[in-house]
Amino acid sequence: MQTLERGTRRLLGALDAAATRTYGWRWNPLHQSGTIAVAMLLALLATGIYLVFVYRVGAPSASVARIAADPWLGSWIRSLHRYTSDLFILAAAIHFFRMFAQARSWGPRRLAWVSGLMLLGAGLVCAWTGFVMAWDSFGERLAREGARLLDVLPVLSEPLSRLFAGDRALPSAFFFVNLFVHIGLPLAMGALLWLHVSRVARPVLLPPRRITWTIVGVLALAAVLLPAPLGPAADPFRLPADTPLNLFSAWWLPLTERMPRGAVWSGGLAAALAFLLVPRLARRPRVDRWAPSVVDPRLCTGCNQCPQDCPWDAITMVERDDDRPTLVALVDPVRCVSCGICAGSCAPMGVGPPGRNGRDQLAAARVAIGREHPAAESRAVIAVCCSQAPESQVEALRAMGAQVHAVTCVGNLHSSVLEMFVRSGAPGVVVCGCPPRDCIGREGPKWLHERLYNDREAELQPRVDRRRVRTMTLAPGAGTAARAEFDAIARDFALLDLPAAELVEPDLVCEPVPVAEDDR
Amino acid sequence: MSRNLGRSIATVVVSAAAAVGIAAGSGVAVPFHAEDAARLRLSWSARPERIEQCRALSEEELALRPEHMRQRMECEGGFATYALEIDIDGRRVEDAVLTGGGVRNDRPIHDLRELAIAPGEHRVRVSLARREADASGEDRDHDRDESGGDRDEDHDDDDDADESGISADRAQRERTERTRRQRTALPESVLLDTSLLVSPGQVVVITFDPARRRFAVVPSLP
Repeated sequence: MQTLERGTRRLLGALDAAATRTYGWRWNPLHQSGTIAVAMLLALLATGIYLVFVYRVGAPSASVARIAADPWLGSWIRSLHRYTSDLFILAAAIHFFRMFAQARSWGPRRLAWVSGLMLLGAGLVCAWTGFVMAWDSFGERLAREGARLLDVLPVLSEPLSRLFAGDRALPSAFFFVNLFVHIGLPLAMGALLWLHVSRVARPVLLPPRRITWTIVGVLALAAVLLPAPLGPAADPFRLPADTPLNLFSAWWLPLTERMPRGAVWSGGLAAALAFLLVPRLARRPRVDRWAPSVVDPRLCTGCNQCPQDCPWDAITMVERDDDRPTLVALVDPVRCVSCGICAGSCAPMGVGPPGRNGRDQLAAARVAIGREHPAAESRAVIAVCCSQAPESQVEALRAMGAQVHAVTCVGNLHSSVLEMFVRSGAPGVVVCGCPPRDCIGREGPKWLHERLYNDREAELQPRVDRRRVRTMTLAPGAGTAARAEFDAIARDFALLDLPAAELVEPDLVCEPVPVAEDDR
Repeated sequence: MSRNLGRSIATVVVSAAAAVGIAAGSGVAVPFHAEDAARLRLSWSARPERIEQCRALSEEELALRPEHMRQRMECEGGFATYALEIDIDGRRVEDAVLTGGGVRNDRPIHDLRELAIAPGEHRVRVSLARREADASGEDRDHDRDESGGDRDEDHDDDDDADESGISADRAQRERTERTRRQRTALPESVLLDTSLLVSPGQVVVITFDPARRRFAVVPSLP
C-alpha cells in the first residue's frame, strides 16, 4: 500500500508542480480540491433551485428541451448546473486522490475518508438521476443501464427494465421518484459533509473568494459560449447511433454495458470494499513518527493554548488529579494525528508527540548548530524545512550554503528553537513551510506565522531580532522562485552585522512548575 | 514584469482550456449503436395458467373444517410453464422456457428480451405454448364443470348455506374468482406469425395484449 502511496505521491507532485507553475502556490486550485467541491455543491444548489421550478415531471424531455432553448436564462443555467456538477466530481476525485497520496486516510482520518467516499458516491448517483431527468437519449441509456443492474436484486417482482421497453407509456411516477432522489440526495450530502469535517477544528469549507468567483465566472462563460449538449428525446422505438456521454459522472457506462450484471456488481462492490479498506491497509503503527502526542502534567500550566491550536480537536482541558489549581491538557490518542502542532503551541514544552516536543526539538537543535563543537564554518543561514518539502528544493538551498534543519511540520516548530538558532550566531533563520492549503498538519504555516509575528502564545520572544527570522514557502513547481527568494533573504541577512554567538539556553517564559526530584 | 505577464497569459490560457475541457468532457458524442442496427424487442407480462385438480368437498369434510376455512372447492396443482420460440425468416433465434415469478412460480411471467435483426422485411414467428400435457387441463376443466355446474344448476344456495355454513355469496365469489383467474391467465398457446418491415435504427416491440389474449406489435407509444 505504501508503495502505491509513493507512486501516487510522485504523480501528485508532478500535477501540483504544473499547477503551481501556472497559478502560483497561493492560487493553486489543486490545493483547494476539497473546498472547490463544496463551492460547486453550493453552485449546484443555486442553479438547481431555478431549474426545479421550470422542470415538468409530466413532460421531462419537452421541458428540458424548452429550458435548453431559452437563450436568456434556461440555457446557460442548465449548462452551468451541468458543468458545476462535472467539476464537483472532478474536484472530489482529486481531493480523494490527494488524501490517499499524502497518507491522510487512516487512523483519526478514517471517518473523513469513509464519509468522503460516500459523498463522492452520492454525487455520482445524484448526477445519474440528473441526466435521467433530462430524458434524452443519454438519460434513457443511463436509466436502462441502472434498471438492468437493479433487476439483478431479488427485491422487485417486475423487472424495472420493462419500464423502458416501449410496450406501455412510462409512468410519470418514475420521473417523480427520480426527481425526489435528485433533490433528496443533496440533503443527505449536506449531512455527510457535516460528518466529513466533524473531526477537524475550524474546517475550511470554501476556497478563497478569488478562486471561487474565478471558477464560477469561467464556468458561466463556458455555459454561455459552449452550452451543454442535449441529445434527442428518448424514444424506446429507436436505437440512437450515438449519445452524448458525460466523462465525469458516467465514464463507466460504456464499460458496464458490455459486462454481465453480476460482474458489474462484483466489480463495483470489490472496488468499494477496496476503497473502504484503504484506512486499514494504509495505517501505520502508532509509534515513533506516528505516536500520538502526550502531555507532561508536571509542565502543563493549564494555559489552554494547545486545545485552541490543535487542528483535530484532539486536546481537552480536564481537572488535575493533584492539588494545583489549574486544569491540565489531555490528548485523545484516537483523534490525534501526530501532527505535532501542539508542540509548537506549548511555551513550557509540556506537550507533543514523543521525541518531538519543544525540549526534544531544542536537543536536536543543539546538535544541529554544533554547540558541542562550535566552528566558524557553521555560521551559515539556517533553513528550517518541513520534511514534506520537495527534496530537490531542499537540496538547492543546501547547495546555496544553507544549513538545513528538518522538522516534521513548521507548525511543529517551537519558537525557542528559532531563538536558539538566532542567538547561536547564525546570520539568520529561514523557516521553509508548505503552502498553507497543502499542509498535512492542516494549520502549520498559519500558526507559525501567528507565533512569529502576531504574538500568539508560545510566541517568538521580543528579544529575538526579527530581521534574522524569515519565512518562505517551498512548493513543487516553484523551485526557481524559492531559490530566488532564499537568495534575496540571504543577501538581506548579509547586510546585517554578524551577531556574536551566545552560549545561551533560551529562557522559557512559562517555566515549568518546579517539581521535586522525588516526584519524578 | 514580462514574467508576470507570461504567467498571467498562461493562467488565462490554462483556465480557458480547463473550462473547454470540462465542456467537452461533459458531452462527448460516442457511438452507441451501428447505423444499420435494429432490434426485435419482446416485452410482456401475464399470469401463468394454473393447472389444478379440483373437487367439491363433501358436507362431512366441510363440517370438519373451521368455519372461516370452508371452501366448496378444493384444488391442488401448480402453475403452467411455457415454451417460447422465436423464428425469424424460418430460423430459430430464441428458444426458452418461461415460468411464473416468485418462489412458487405463482407470480406473473415478466419477459423482456431483445434480438438483433437486420433492417428489411422479415417473417417473424413468436410462439408461446404451454408445456404441460393437455390431459391435466382437461381433467381440471372437467372437474370444474362437473362440480361447479352441478351446484349452479341444481343446488339451492340457501340450502348450501344451511348445510355447510358456506353462504351463497361466498360460493359465488369462489366461482367468480376462479373464472377471472382463468380468463387473465395465459392461454394454452399464443402465436404471432407476421411480416415486419424493419428500418435501420428501429426497435420493433412485441407485447402480449391481455384483452385479445394474443401477441401484438406495438405501433408506437401508447
